[in-house]
Amino acid sequence: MREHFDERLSEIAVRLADEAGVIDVAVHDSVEAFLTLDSRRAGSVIDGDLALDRREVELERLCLDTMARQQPMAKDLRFLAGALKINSDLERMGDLACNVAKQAWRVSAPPVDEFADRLRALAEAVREMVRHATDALVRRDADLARRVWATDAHTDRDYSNLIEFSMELLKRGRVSPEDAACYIAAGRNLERIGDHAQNIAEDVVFIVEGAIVRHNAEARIAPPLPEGV
Amino acid sequence: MEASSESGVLPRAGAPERPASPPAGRADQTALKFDVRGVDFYYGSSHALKSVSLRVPAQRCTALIGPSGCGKSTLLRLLNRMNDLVPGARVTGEILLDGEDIYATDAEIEVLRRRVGMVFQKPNPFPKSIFENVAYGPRIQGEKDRARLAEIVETSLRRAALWNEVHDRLESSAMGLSGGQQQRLCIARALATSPEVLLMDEPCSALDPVSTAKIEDLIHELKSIVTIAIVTHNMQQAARVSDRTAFMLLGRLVEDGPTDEIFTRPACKETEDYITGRFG
Repeated sequence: MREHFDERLSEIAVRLADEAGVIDVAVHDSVEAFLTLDSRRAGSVIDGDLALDRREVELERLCLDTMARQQPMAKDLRFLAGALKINSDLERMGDLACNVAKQAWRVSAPPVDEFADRLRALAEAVREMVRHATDALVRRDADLARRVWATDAHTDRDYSNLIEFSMELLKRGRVSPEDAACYIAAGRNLERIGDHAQNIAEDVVFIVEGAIVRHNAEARIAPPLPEGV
Repeated sequence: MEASSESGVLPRAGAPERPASPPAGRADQTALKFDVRGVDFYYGSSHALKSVSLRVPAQRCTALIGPSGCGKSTLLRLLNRMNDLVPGARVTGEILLDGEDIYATDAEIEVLRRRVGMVFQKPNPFPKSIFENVAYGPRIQGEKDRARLAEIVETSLRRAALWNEVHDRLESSAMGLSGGQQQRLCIARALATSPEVLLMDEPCSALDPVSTAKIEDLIHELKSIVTIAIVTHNMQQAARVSDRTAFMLLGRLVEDGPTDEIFTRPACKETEDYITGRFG
């Protein structure tokens, strides 16, 4: 029963996953554009964000239309309410990736290697959070979603270390104050992308279990990892 | 103890076959109006209700939902002993109204029906004037004073949100009213005897959306003065009007709880499958 409705819900999940895939590439490209001062690549990230904005609006309309026509209840209602919020988080992630890319136009010289390594590591950790949060959504896996939240604590720590390292470079005179500001801006925007991935993970727990864990630290505790993970 | 329905008194066992248990549903702290404890009901050999326990809080609206034939109307009709005259009907268990068993041998059915009014699926006004329809209950209860009757009629029609539409034609036939107006007249008629509980068996199923909205608004208003139990096939309606919802399936009460929880995160898979339209 309700085959058309189920197809619509699947379509929404797939579109969200597609958006997350685009964000994943945008985050990678934005960091590389900044680290290599590649203006064209930075411009490509920013142009791509316009398409993401359009997709966000289309998906929001699709969710609202589905709610109006199908009058969802229980897990379906939770999914559509969560999808609207996740859609918004993804759109914001796209904006933040643009902010990283824009640093390519502001920084005066390619960032120093030690910083580049740390920023790439932070970017990779954040991208993994986004991928896991999206996988959790597609698989309706609350345990995986809770692990994203656990990862966010590490990401926050890596971000703090990155800021300290940037300040150290500034103190030693290895980078100008203006470039240090770009370093910090790139790191801060990546860290905020991680925060949005965490929001998505919280919404997945809500979708799956009906529990609002946003302000409840205990409910966000991840189960132990299975062996080999 | 059991008795035949031919006597006009619904037979029942003296004590529940199963021990009275606390409600399965999530708790509501308000005072209880009805406490249904381990009720089984039979139409002859057909076992229509199976060990149903349900608490109906006072001055709240409780919705009974479930697929056709699940027993929700049967349960509703047990609350004012409407099933008493059904041939072969038999009930076991207890149904307490304010703590008193409505199926006790010394329970007075007339008093029960005065305390527990009912509105049916199809509007059923008497072929009399609007005034006489509403005044009917108080009259047979002995009220003869015309001024007092007029006061009751006006109050009841106002409470049923019908007064403004009919106050200048109270002597006209009730049969000339629209379907929605007739249903609100039936509600006014039920309210005229000042019931403590109003049972509504799919009250909007024959009405258009505008009339339905009026009845739903009315339910919200009436909750301050009466306890309401409503059977509805329309889950959106249950979600809109009720404070608590009970889901029934195949004669059993699967789950009951606060409406917002039942419709956003039901505890039982059967409930979720039903309210999301996956079966039923």
